[in-house]
Amino acid sequence: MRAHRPAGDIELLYSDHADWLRAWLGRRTRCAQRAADLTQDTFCRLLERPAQPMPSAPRGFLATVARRLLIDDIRRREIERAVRDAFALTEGAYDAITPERTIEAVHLLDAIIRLLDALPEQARQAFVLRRIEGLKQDEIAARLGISLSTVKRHIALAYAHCYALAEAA
Amino acid sequence: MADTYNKQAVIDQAARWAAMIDAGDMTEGERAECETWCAADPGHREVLERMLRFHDRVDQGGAVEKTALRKLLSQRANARRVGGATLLALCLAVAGWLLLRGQPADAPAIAYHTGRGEQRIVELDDGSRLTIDTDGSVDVTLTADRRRVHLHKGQVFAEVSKNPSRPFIVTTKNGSATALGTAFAVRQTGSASVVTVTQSRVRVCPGDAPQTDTRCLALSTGQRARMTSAAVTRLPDIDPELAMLWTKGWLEADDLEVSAVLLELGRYSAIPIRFEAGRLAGRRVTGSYPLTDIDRALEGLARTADLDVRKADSEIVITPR
Repeated sequence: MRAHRPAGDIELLYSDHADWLRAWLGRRTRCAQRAADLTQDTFCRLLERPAQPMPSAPRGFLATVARRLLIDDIRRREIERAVRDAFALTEGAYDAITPERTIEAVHLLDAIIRLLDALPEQARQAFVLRRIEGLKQDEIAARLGISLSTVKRHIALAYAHCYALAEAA
Repeated sequence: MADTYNKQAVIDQAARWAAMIDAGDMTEGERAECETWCAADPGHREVLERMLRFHDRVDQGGAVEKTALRKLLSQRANARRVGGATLLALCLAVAGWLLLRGQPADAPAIAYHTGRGEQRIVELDDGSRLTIDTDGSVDVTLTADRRRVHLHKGQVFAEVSKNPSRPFIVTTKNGSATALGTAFAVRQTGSASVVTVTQSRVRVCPGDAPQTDTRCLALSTGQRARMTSAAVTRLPDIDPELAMLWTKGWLEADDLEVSAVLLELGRYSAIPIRFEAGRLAGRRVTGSYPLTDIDRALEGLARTADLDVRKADSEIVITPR
């Protein structure tokens, strides 16, 4: 059981700094709607955190949390754009574009990108060659010039990380 | 903690089985061992099955997912320097060839200046965008085969529209920074220039050195270098997002010496800011300060760092309280 930050502290942070944070995010996103959404997300994130002493520099602290959310938001947008472009490029896929189909693809790619970001370089290469390019493990060993048992270790690492990410989500 | 430890051990073991199943070369003995492990605890089987499920989903991803993912990976690889070596070599070959073709026909240079405390965004005809920082001066020359920005003083942030056949070159008296489509900042200080790359890659060369000179350095996202007419030296990396905050009108101090913050604010102040660095030594601050409102920035800084701000006609004097 986690102890949660008393909501009163967050309320105080909110009344003192929410407008500032919205303006701060507005300058970065150049979009009032996104800035407002991300401000909400930032404070929601704080409510979920285990209790901690109030930060001595609240704005720096809020900006750190908001920046992380902004990076996630930018990555999701990047993925959405890539998925839309891919639909446009793929012959016959036009009819297949439905909001559900798009969201599903974005979710999957987001999970893959987060997994790849968490993996060391060679393991990332091994994962991409195996799962995306469809090479067999012994073909990957030959391609990367490493032993089959190293490839197996990389693939196992990807499985383990991927499970951890799915748990955290 | 024993609980967490066991869980990680189960995940690691399941991952080893999953990798063996994925290889498709398990012996009868190994298969039996895996089955025994799964049967030992219902949790074991579930973890292994969930792992295999995710990868099945990836494998079954349609053409759309794979196309999108390849594109995303190549974008990220460029930023990360993975497998970008060939691309870079190609870009450099093109840029080098263009530079060797000799001077293009003269085109008129357009000069842009900013006053103290002023930042100016200039949209160029090629779709690129320059942000000129306080007290700056640049000349822009666009010709059919290259785009050149000469920085006389101050700092400029270039968001370069992609055009491989028209390299974008920022020059200073200390050297040149060449890109084909990227974002980077160049700052002129007294005796040197500092190049900071916030996106993709930039080739930095000292003095008049051509692109092929061995003293040139290739910088990628988050990397910085100091350039003099004789050499280019790497500086510590920086978070690209932080590096470009000034273009949004903010100075972000993350545990910085007060005197460093004052020095930076001084560049934006219409009247000089005076302080004795020795008397402020050891005082550090974390915070965001508006570059567009120096009075407010100093007010905030004074509050956190316990300073006195005295405004006279021709200067602002800062002392420890």
